[in-house]
Amino acid sequence: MNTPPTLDRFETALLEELRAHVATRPAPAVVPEPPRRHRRRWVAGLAAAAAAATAYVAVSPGGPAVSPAYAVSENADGDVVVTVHRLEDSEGLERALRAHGIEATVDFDADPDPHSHEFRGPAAEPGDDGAPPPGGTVERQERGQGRPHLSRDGDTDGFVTDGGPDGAPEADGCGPVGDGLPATLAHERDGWELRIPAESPLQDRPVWITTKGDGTLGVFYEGSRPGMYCGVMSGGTGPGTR
Amino acid sequence: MPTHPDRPPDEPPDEPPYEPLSRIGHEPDAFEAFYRDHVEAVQRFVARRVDDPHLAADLTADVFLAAIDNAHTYDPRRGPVVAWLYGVGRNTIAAEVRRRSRELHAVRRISGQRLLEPASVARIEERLDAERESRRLYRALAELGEADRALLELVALDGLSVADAARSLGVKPATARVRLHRSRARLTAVLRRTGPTEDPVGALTPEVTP
Repeated sequence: MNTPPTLDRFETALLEELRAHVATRPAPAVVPEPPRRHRRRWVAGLAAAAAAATAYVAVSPGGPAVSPAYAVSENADGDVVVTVHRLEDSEGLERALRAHGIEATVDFDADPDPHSHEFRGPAAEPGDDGAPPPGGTVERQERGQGRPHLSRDGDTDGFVTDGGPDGAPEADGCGPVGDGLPATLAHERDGWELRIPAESPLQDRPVWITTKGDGTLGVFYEGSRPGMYCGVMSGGTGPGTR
Repeated sequence: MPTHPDRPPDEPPDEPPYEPLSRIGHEPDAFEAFYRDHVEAVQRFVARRVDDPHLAADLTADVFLAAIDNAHTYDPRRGPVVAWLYGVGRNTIAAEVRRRSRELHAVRRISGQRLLEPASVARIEERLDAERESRRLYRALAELGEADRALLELVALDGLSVADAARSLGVKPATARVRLHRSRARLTAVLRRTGPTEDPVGALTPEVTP
């Protein structure tokens, strides 16, 4: 810390005023903070997030009968259901997910190339020893790690895992999964529906929701090994990309 | 930055005389030690955001008053004191902006500018000059969403590590890295649009952790 050897007259005068102010404050009774449950922390933020979403709709430049771009709800059993109608207001969706205890980064600024086979995602920062987010760069691809190996599982929406440096799939890297998939992603006529079960690892680790130029929506999280990404993707041209 | 993100959470690097921090809320001596350690950092933090010496003096007082009021909220597991203090500073300045936009003239508990005399004004103006380019970056940050902006401010403007900034804002480091990448791309475009500068992108990439 750059501590100046002496205080100037302003700093000294301010210090005296602040000392006098501190002296008038009583010592507080020590109340240990109760442990907080992750999912409960954001309940207070829910109303604000909902209000923000409403405000967004009000100013949306879309056509007549503007509907919300997304909806997030939580079932009684703790499953979180996300419906994305349009690829808009990514920050509003981040806030809405946060209100349900899910820390997500949403990026709808897809690669404009409709034939792109890559999900656009940030690269690792230089000197950053943490795991890079999905997407990746060619350089890291050549090193054989950090980029999710993404392939659609036939015509169904399937969970895919990154291969290791040797490209071999590691089915166990995306756990603990518990019963069933960490999430399901269905492509409905009027939007995507992402369902995150209450026991899903996505409930307590960072989630990336992103798109690629052909309208595919992908949902990813970091697996158990650095550089490994797990995710679910839904192909086809999405419901309005407008 | 003397801290390291990988430091075990329960071991502060050294024991300052204001440990635990909640003491600065009611012990004048503990507060004074805290003040002497941080008054320069707070004044520079303010100078990166406002360009009027009298407002800067008021905001410096406001940030310390807010720190006194909120000292009990500091949790060492969520990063170093300076990261917490910058978070307090952000909230204080945001509140000032809101107040000005509503043209409310709340009475300050301690008026910083009332304590100013010419020599001190000159010192504040020196800081303001030194932080001129930072303020340009700060204004460009208005183009970002609030969450992205908060993160980029603490990392690119105030020099916190990504890990400390993430802890200060309550997000995971991996999330912070993703958001920083997104913000940098957007902001680089804004800075290119708003005029020439020596190295706009360079100012956005100091977050390689020490």
